[in-house]
Amino acid sequence: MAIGVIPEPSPGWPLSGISEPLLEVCDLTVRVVRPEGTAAVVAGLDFRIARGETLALLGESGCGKSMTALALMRLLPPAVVAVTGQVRLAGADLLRLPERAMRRVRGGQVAMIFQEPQTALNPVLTVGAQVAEAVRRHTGRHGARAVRERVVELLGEVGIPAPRERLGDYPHQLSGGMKQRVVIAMALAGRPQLLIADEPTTALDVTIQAEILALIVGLQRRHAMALLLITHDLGIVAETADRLAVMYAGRLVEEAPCAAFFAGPAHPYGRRLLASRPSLDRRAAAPAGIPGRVPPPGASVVGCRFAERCDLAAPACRSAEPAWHPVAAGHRVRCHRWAEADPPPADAAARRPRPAGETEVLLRVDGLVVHFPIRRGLLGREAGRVRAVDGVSLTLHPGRTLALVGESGCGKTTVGRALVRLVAPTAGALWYRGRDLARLGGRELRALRKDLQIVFQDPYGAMNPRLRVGDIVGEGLRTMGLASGRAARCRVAELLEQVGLAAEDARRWPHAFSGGQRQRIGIARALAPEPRLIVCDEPTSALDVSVQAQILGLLARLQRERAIAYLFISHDLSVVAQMADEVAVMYLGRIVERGTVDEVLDRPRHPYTRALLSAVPVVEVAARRPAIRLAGERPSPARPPAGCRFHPRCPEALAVCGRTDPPEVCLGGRHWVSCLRAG
Amino acid sequence: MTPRWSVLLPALVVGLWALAALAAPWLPLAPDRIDLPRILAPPSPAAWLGCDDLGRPVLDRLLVGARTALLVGFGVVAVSALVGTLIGAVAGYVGGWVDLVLVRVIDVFLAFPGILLAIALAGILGPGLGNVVIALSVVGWVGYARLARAQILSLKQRDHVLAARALGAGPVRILARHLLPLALAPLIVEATFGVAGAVIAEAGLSFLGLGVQPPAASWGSMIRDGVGYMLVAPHLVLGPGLAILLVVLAINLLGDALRDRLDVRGARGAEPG
Ligand SMILES: Nc1ncnc2c1ncn2[C@@H]1O[C@H](COP(=O)(O)OP(=O)(O)OP(=O)(O)O)[C@@H](O)[C@H]1O
Ligand code: SF4
Ligand code: SF4
Ligand SMILES: [Mg+2]
Repeated sequence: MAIGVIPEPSPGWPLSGISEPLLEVCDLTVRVVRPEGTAAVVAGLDFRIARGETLALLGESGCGKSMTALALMRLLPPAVVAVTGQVRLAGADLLRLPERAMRRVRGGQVAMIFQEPQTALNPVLTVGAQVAEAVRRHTGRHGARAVRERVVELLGEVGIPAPRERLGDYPHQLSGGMKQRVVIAMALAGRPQLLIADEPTTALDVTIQAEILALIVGLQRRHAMALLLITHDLGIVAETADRLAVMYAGRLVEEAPCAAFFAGPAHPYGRRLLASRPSLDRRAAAPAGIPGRVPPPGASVVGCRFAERCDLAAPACRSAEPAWHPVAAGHRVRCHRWAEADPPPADAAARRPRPAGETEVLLRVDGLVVHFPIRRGLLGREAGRVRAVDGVSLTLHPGRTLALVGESGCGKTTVGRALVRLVAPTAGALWYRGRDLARLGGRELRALRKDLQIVFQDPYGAMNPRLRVGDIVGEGLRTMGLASGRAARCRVAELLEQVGLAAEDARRWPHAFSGGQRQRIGIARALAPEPRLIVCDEPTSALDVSVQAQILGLLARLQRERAIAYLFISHDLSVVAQMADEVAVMYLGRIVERGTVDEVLDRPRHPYTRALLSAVPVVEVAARRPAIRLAGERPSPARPPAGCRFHPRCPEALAVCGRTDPPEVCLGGRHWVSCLRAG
Repeated sequence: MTPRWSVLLPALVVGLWALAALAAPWLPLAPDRIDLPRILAPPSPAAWLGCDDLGRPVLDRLLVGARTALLVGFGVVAVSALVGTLIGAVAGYVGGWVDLVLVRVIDVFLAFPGILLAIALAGILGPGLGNVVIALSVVGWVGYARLARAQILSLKQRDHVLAARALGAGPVRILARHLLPLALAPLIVEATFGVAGAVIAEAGLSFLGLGVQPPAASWGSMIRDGVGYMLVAPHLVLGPGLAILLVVLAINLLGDALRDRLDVRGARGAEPG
C-alpha cells in the first residue's frame, strides 16, 4: 500500500441493491504454466452477481475475459493453468468442489454459451438428440416421451419455429442464428440460476445478433436467471446489462452501474474506450483510439497496467498498482487519478472535410454479375450457380470512400474482389480510364493492377508466414518492377513509417506483430505501388475497438494525403457512418439502396436498411430505435426469391412484391432505392 | 535438454549407413572375391560375418549393398518427390480440366498395387540400378502428387495468395514463393518415409532377381542367395535382413520425430529457419 489514499475495501464492500449475491468471486487468479515460469493472465478478480442480475464483463481481446469464464466453470485444463481464489455459488466454493459434484453444477446451476455456435454443437448428432441429452442429464427425466416434450418446449422457448419438425435436423442444416438458439436451449435444459454467455453474438450478423440478444435478455427476465455477459462491445453492454465490470490486462479496473458508466466512466481506459467507439452519429469524426497496445498476457508490470497508454499517467502510477477507489454507490475504480479531468485531445477538431458536389469518376461498375458454378458428380457437371453478385452498379470517386454494407454472404467480398479482378466477372463492365477492366487479361491487366489494391480482413491470413515483413511489403515493388535492391528497401522503410511502424520492422517475421500492427503491414503493402483505389474488405472487423480506431484514423489520413478512393466493405454501420462519404446497402447480390451517408443513414427508405439500422446497438438511450425484426432466414444466393429478393422477410411487403422485381428509383440527390413502396 | 534417444539412436544408424555407403568404394573390400574353400564359412576373425555360398565375405557385400540401398533410396525419393510435387502442385493450382486429367491419372496409378506395377516395370526394363530407380519412381510419384495437390488446394484459398495476385505476381512466382514453401513440411516428412519404402522395395525387387545384376551386391539379392542355406548358414540371411530392419526402423523413427517437430512448429507459428 504505497500511496495509500483510501485503504483497500473490505470484502463487505457495499454494492447498492445487492443483498445476497448468487455468485461471489474473490481474488480469482489464473496462472498459465509456461516453460519460462507461470504468468497470471487473470489477476485477483473480485466481483459479485445478484440473483436475476446482468453483469457485463467488458474487455478487449486477450484481456482474460474468456479465461475468467472458463475458470468459473472449471473448464481450464489443470495441466496448463493454476486457478486460485474463491468462486462461491450460493455459498458453495466451486473451486474446491469434487469433480463429480462440479459436473452436476455445469449445465445445472450454471450454464454457458460460447461464441461459436458451429463448434459448440456436435455435427453428427441431430439437434433433438443433443438437446435431449442435456435434458436427461440435468433433470432426471428419462421417459422418452417426457424428454421429447421438454425438448420441443425448450426449442419453442428459444424461438425456433415449428420445433417438432426440426428435431431431426443436423446442425449444418441450420443457420448460425438458429444454431445459437439451439445452444441456448441446451443451456436452459438444466434450469440454470446463472448463465455465462461468452461473446454470444460476435459470430453472428447484426440483425441476428439483435434477435439473439433480445432472446437472452428475455429468457433471463422470465426465469430470473443471473447473467454474466462477456463482450467487447459497449453497445451490447449498454443495451443489456445492469452493471458492468471493465477488465484490462487481466485486472478489473472499473465496476459500475451501466447508467453511471456511460454517463461518465471513471477510469481513463473506460473513457478512451468510449471515445474510440464509432457511432452512427459521429460522422466523419476522427476517432480517438488508444495509442500503444495491451501489455502481453502475464507480462510483469509494476504499477498500473494501463500506464503505458494513459495520458493521465503520473510517476506514482508506474510505481504502485492502484487500489480500488469508491466513486459513488456501486461504482469503484482502480486508478490513482480518476478524479482528474482528461487533458484536451490533441486534434479535437479533426473532422474530415467531406468533399461536396460532383467530382470526376475513377471507376464505374456497370451491372456487375459474378456467378459461381456449383459442380457435382464425377465429371464436375454444373448443377446450379451461386448468384453471389447479381447486377451491381456503383461509382467510385478519387479521394472518396464508398462503403458497401450488408450481412454475411450477401456478396460484399465478391464485389470487392471483382473490382480488383481477383475473381472474374461473369457479366458487366468495370470502366476504368476508358477501358473495361472486365475484358482485360494477362499483361494488360497486370499493368493496371498497380492502381487497384486490396486490404484483407484477416491480416495474418493475408501474409505469407515464410516471408519477412520487408519482403511482404516490397512484393509489389518487385513483381511490378517498380523498384529493386536498395531502392526497394528504402521505399519499404518509408512505407512502414507512413503506417506507423518502424523501419527496422522490415526484418521481423509477421507473427511477431499484434493484430493491429499486422493490419498496418497489410496497408503498407497495398500502398506500395501507389494505387488509386484500395478495396478495404472489413479491415478492422478482426480488431479491438481501440485498435480499430487507430486503423480507421490511419486510413482516413492516407486518403487525405493521396486522394485514394476506398471501397470500404463492412457489416458495421457505425464504422461506415464514420468512414464513408457514400453508402451502398447490399442484400443477396443486389444493391438495394445507395446514396450519401446522410441520405442513407438519416433517411433510410428501404425496409432492409431500416432493419439494419435498428439493429445497431446504441449507447445513448435516447437514440435507441425499436428493433425491426426480420422474419425467416436469409435465402440462399443459389436460389434467390422471385420478385423483390427481400419480400419473404420484408415487414412492409405488398402482394405485388412477390412478382415484380423493383427497379432502382432516384429519391433526389444521389439517393437511389430499389423498393416498390418508395418513390 | 535430456538427450533424446529416440532421435539420437536412429540418427546414428542412418549416419553409419550413409557413411558405409559413401565410403564403400574407398574401403579395401573384396565383395566379389570367390573363395571356394570358404563356402558358407561361419563368422570368424577373418570374415566377421562369415562367407556366402561362393565364399565371398558377407560383411564386404553388406557394405557394398548399403551403397546400392542408399542410391536407390535417395534416388527414388529425389526423382519421385520432385516429379510428384510438381505435378500435384500444378494440378492443384491450375485447376480446371488440367486438374481433372491429372487426378484421373493419379487415381489410375493408385488403383494398381504399387509393388506389382514396379515388378512388371522392372521386368520390362530389365535388371540394373538405373532401371530399379525408374521403376520405383514411376510408382512413387503418385503419393507426393496427391499430397502436394491437397496442400496447394487448401493453401491457395488463403488471402496471401490473393494479395500476391493483386500485386501482379504471376503463377510461377506464386507457386514458387507463396505456395510451395508453405506446403513443404508434410512433403519432407513423406519423403523421409519414402526413403524407407524405397529401401524395402529395392530389396524386394532384388530378391526377385529384378534388381541389380549379379555379381553386384544388394541386400535383397543377398537374402535371395541365402534363403537356400537358411538351415546350414543362417548368417547369410541374418546379416542383410538385420541391416534392412535397422535402416528402415531408424528412418521411420526419424520421420516420426520430424513430423512431430514440424507440427509443433506449425502450431506455434515459430520462425521459419
Ligand atoms: N469461390 C467461391 N465459390 C463458390 N461460392 C462462393 C465463392 N466465393 C463466395 N461464394 C458464395 O457467394 C456468396 C457471397 O459471398 P461473399 O463472400 O461475397 O459474401 P460477403 O457479403 O462478403 O459475406 P461476409 O460478410 O461473410 O464476408 C456466398 O453465398 C458465398 O458462399
Ligand atoms: S493509475 Fe495512473 S496510469 Fe493508471 S489509469 Fe490511473 S492515471 Fe492512468
Ligand atoms: S419491394 Fe416490397 S418486399 Fe421489397 S423491400 Fe420494398 S416493400 Fe419490401
Ligand atoms: Mg466478406
